[in-house]
Amino acid sequence: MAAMENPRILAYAVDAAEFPGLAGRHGVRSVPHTVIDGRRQVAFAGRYPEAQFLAELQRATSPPAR
Amino acid sequence: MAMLSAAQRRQAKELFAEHLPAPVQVLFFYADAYAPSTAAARALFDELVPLSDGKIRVKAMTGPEGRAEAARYRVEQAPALVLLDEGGRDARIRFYGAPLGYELMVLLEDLIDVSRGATRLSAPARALIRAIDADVVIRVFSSPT
Repeated sequence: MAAMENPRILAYAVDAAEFPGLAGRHGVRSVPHTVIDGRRQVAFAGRYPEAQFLAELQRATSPPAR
Repeated sequence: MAMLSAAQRRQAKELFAEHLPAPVQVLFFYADAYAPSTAAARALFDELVPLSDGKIRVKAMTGPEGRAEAARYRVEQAPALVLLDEGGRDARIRFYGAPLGYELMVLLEDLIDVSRGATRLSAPARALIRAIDADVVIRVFSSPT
């Protein structure tokens, strides 16, 4: 959903069993597993509610501390 | 083999009837027509399209033309689905593999969002996401079972 709100966001829903190489490269050991690549990479296992997901999205995209 | 259970078929039909105001285009990229996941994705849309009163339109792409289009949409795996709105604008949502099981509901909700041209996110969430000024790729790995 986030991708529809901001043209700088691209979202992929990946069948981990069908693409084990891609899953392996992203450190997926269980599903669901989310990887957000922004200014930094953030990954978490399980399905997060909206507020928690947004917190992770912010963590991945916030400018680096000076 | 049917991809949708009777209950899923009923649910999809009801959701589409109530919440699919405008057509949605689905670009279906595949490399191997005989791969089980290609056949599953094709069969899934063969069942979903008639339930949408023709509002879901699937364009299958393969071969050199498909590869060129896939690169344009940053699709690096197949089979893959890319959702576009009625005007052909990219909703920036891709599925790798056939979205079955839990992912079926994600697909249905995304089709509805693209058709409506709006997400179901809260206003504060939308504001926060729109303020992001970095390029972001979100990958959600799941399993159809």
